[in-house]
Amino acid sequence: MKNDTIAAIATAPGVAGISVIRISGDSAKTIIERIFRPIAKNCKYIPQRMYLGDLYSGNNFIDQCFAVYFKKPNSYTGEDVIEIQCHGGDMVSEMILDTVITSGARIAEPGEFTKRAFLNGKIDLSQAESIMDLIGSLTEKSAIESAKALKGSIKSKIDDLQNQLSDVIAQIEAVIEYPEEDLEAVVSSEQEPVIEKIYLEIKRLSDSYKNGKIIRNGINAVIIGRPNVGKSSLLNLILDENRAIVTHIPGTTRDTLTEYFVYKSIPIIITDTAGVRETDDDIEKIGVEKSIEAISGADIVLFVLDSSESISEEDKLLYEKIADKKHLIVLNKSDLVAVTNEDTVFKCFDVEPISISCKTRQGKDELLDMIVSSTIDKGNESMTILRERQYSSLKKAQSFLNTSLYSIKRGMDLDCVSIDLKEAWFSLGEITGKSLTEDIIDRIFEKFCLGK
Amino acid sequence: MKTYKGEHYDIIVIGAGHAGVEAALASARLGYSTLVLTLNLDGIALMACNPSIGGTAKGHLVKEIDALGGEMGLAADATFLQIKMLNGSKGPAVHSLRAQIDKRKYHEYMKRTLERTENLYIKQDEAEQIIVEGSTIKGLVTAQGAELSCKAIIIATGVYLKSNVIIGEFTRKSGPSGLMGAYGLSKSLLDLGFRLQRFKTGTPARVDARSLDFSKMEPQYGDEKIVPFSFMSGKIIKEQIPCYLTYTNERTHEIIRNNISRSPLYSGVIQGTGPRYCPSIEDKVVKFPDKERHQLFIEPEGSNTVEMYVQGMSSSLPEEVQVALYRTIPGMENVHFMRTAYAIEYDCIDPTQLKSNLEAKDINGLFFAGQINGSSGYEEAAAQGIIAGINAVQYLREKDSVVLGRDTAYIGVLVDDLVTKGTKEPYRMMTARAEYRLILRQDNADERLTEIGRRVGLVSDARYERFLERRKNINEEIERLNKLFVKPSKNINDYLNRIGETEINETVSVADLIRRPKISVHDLEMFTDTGDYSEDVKESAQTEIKYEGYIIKQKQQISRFRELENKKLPQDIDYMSISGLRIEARQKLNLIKPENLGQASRISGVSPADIAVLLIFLKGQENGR
Repeated sequence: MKNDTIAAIATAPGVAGISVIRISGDSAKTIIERIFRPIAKNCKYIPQRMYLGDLYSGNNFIDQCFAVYFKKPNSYTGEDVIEIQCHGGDMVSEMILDTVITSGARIAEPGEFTKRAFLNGKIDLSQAESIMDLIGSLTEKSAIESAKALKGSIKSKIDDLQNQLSDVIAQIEAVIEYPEEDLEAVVSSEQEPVIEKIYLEIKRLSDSYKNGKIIRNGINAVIIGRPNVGKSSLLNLILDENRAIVTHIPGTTRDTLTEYFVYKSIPIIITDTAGVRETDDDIEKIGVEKSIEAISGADIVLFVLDSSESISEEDKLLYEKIADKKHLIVLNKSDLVAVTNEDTVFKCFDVEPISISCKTRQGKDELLDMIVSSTIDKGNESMTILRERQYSSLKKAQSFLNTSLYSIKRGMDLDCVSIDLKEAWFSLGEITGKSLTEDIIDRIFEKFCLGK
Repeated sequence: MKTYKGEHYDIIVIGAGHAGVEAALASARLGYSTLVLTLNLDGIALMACNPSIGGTAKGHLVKEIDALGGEMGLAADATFLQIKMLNGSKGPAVHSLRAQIDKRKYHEYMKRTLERTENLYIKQDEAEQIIVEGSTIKGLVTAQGAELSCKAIIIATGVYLKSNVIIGEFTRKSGPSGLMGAYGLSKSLLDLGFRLQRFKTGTPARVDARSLDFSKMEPQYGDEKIVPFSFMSGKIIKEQIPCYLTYTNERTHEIIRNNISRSPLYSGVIQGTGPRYCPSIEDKVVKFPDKERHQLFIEPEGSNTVEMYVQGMSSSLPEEVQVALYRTIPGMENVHFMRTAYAIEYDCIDPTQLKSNLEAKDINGLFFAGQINGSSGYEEAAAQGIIAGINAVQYLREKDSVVLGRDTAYIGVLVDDLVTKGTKEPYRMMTARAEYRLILRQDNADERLTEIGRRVGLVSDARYERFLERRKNINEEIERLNKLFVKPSKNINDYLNRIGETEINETVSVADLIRRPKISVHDLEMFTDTGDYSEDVKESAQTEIKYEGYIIKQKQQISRFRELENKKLPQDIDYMSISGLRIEARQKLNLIKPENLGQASRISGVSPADIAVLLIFLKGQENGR
């Protein structure tokens, strides 16, 4: 275990200027090389030196950050350590942690950095003894927390998945264990649809992590539209205050502007962007670029149209940029004489718009409800994965099941299929803390009549 | 009773069943004077239940005993009536050898082997009292009054302690198969502080072959190509005797249901815990009411007897009910009982009182092996026997114990499960209990264990040379298959199409081809050079190539497992005083006193967080405080 690489967000959660993600272990440097593109040419990662660069998840830009390399043993843990300083807030740091995990690290246990520091002789025994208590209390706390999180639907859902998987494994094991009993011949191809079903259920659950993240971190909504359709007024309406500068001169908002509020106990992060149009003004150009960038990080885009004007080519061009994202069309200024109405919008974009008036405040709650209901999948709400740790266990289970399905397709032996099924079970067991062997053996004798 | 001063031995083995025999042979062969005490010389290596050795997981145990230099595999090869490789198509890790054995001949073979072994003495007497001074073994007192002194004792009493045979309303203080039980030793164990449990097992009737109509049953034959258990047996050619398959039916089940109140299991006469994997026929019918029939195998007890064993019909119903229900079976309408089916209850210890070398935690030089430890089965017993024998010798030599890991042998899994988790029912080995079974294959038992047996001194020069030769051959065969190429041709592609694999369009190595699941090296011999090696070498080479990916995966799992396993825990830790541990963990750890962190992690009630705390505690101790 010394050799595996761990990672965690080292700074406290919540709003802050910067967040620090710490990676410790042999592959810390390999991981950063994979995900970080330093501005410096031929970056050699000289220890204790800060490098500015862009952090990517695959081809998706996440944040501009600093990375520092601490070469073992001259680091906090005594192992190779990378620290990433990114912009503050849970959203960015979680995304970066996610990327680090998919690049080969695993989430650190509570107190694990300190434990490694101790094991590598970086701190002395008196320090360690107090840490021992701390680890105890931390795990106790996280045990209580996870017990809370697991109560109810997620717990019973994972139990259920494990049960289904146990049944498949027990079938296979019973046949292996009792070759001469008149058990119905279990061939792996018959297990295939069952495994596939379990796989899909796990996938659905792990996909809900995105929902969980939204519930925890907030919905990232971005307002977009051509200049002077009333984007800033919409932001003000939603926030009930005159936060954004509102004028009638097109292009007033030259930078993106982000605000945070809570609606029906769900946090919403709303970003107002510069109006997007062809422009020669350099400053405005930057604003437009930022708007486009903001779209890529949005959970939902609010595309604003002005009902007092007809739908222009510019609107249509802009719409194309967001059509692939989850979006709502907001038809603004419904208090004025309408040139564009709901029907014309529907005919043009094939989407029903929501009409609001920033002056009379009509349509505000309807819009907010739509933002929530279209980003958070109601059907899955009863079982939403909130924790990164649960998510990574589910992902592991998914990949083992995938391998087992592949083995079945290739006609691999039953025993080999069983190896991956068991691994999948263990990954789910990381969430529920159950042990496989006894469970399977119990099940074999419950389900089948066996023995001499 | 007046006692007299008897002889001195290095090691005394109590019991000459499958555990006792292996234990005594190991210690005597290693040069230590060894006495085997048994209640009856005619009960040496008695197969009191089914006349077979091996099967899933159990076959692995036999191969492992053999690789360490034990006797069971050789004895089985010398006396089998029929042999079969089970699970041929389900993956190399679960191939298992199973043989029907001639019981009488097996007993004679083992008795004769003991008699031929130097330093080994056999005596018919009952051990009644263990003598301990301070916390060290000094000797024992027998029922006939001999006070024997010794340096180590191995207790391998099987199902004989306070044994009670039950047939319906009839019960008798007796050991299995009409042999005497042992009624003194339990008290001595209790006096020494051992916790005892009461277990139960059972056996079916033995019936007269002349009263059976085999034409109504399906004959079951052995393999034409005989694979022996022992590495040393070489090619075996012999005529094999068939078994017969038949089934229960609704009438059988009805008789059972109508008489269930007379079953001592259901009336409460039997208190002991029985094994789930050896259910009586009444258990099967009650627990699986929807199953229309249960299969029965009629197996010969020997080549020189008409006694047949009815596998699947173990029962403790009254004799008249037994006869009636056996007579409902096709082919058994006129069955004549020679020995009635019975259940037997006996005392065993809670095995968590043992260290992983099978020595008692609190008494130096006292070892336990076999059913006394809560296990069941001849193979499980023999496996513990050879380990206890080796470790009693290591104790006398003042050398480190031989403890096989869960990643090294099924024997390791067996012993670790018993001493770490204990057992609430007679423990049977199962492949599902092994985490790394692709590494613990029956075809590579020699590679896993022969070096260990060699270091201890049980592996002969001949065996060792054969082992080295085989490994060399496997390596050469792997190299050969990597360098042997197949060109695309109509022949080969026709074959590939036939078995549902994709065609080849360029020259590929045979090794690459057999990595595909459905292709065997045997099939490819139609198109390529066959090589000179024996079947078993070819088979092992193919397995290593074909399953390389999975083998690598399991080896990675093993290296993770080893990290904790290699962190030793001192035996004098007071867990109650370690503040980071949860209370339940402190209590469990204090009770079991695990030998390393890995073992600690397998104790129920010890969490990963507790292990982290222990890691830090250990490091603190190393740093000298």
